[in-house]
Amino acid sequence: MSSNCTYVATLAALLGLAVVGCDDNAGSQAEVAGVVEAEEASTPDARLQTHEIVPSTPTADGLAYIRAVAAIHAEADAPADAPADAEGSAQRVAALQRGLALPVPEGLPEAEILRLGLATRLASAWIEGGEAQRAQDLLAPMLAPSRSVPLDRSSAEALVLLGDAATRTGDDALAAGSYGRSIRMMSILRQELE
Amino acid sequence: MMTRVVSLPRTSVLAGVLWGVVAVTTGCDSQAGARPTVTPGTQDTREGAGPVGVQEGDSVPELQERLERLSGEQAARMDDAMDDTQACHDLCSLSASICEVQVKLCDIADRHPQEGSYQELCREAQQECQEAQTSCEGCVGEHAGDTADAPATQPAPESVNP
Repeated sequence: MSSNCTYVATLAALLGLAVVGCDDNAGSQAEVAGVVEAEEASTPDARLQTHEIVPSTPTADGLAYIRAVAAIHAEADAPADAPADAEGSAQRVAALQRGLALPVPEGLPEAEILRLGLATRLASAWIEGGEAQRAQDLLAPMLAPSRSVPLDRSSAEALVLLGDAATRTGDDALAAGSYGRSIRMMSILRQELE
Repeated sequence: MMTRVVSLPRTSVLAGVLWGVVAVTTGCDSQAGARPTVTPGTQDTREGAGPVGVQEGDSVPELQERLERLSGEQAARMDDAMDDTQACHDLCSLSASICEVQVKLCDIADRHPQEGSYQELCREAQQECQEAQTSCEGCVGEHAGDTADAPATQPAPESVNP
């Protein structure tokens, strides 16, 4: 029993030391990262990494997901015939948010493109509604330059929309970087067609 | 009022009729009506000035077979033309989108004249826009002769969305 107590105490002491040691280190790292981010924020980042989406044979879950996304798009389309009032817009936004919250089944690589399509529509609705910052916050993590994005027109469209949102929020570096990346994406798609 | 009728000698009239009959008989080929149609461009070993090609029968099954073959060929040509049309449409649509985004990008770069990274992105975008337009025009020009109903002859300025 006493040996157990000693062991636990030693472990706790070690962990405490480690945490204290890491704290100092983490603090300095955070400062460095902050400086780097501040520098990067003023410079457009037009890095583009892409990957091809290979069509798969959907499983039952995959098909259900595709149908659910299609239903969400239909729902978001429906109120478009009605007057563009705040209620109709809110319904569209709510439907698209539900679409993005759908759990993605395994083995459906196309889901990445479907999610980008939903996010693009949602961001577009937010920009139209004067909520460019929300649109930027939604799209920026999905399309971060450090991430690989699907080589598809939907990605290029999403990048253009991120540029539009960033233009409205006054983030010129993000806007220029996003526009530049969308052009590079479309250039690759163009060369594939030739 | 007097009218004067020009009268030919009887022998001249008879001779004319006779020569006419001979000419018609020689010019008409009694086989022509029964000769089957041929496909141009293929070799025909028969002598004479008849149509060149391989004999194709006139029976209903043969005509049916030929109709099906020609319909198939026409469908294949239409598919090829449609593929070309779609490819040009996609190229020109991308070209229009690239150039629209380039304008937005260079508008931002104009606000940062001293910053090389913005200027470099703008230059790159302008170059890409130019290449894309050339590509579109080349595609349309190349296929305009192939298809009567070619797609848009100019890069269609579509929506901003790619």
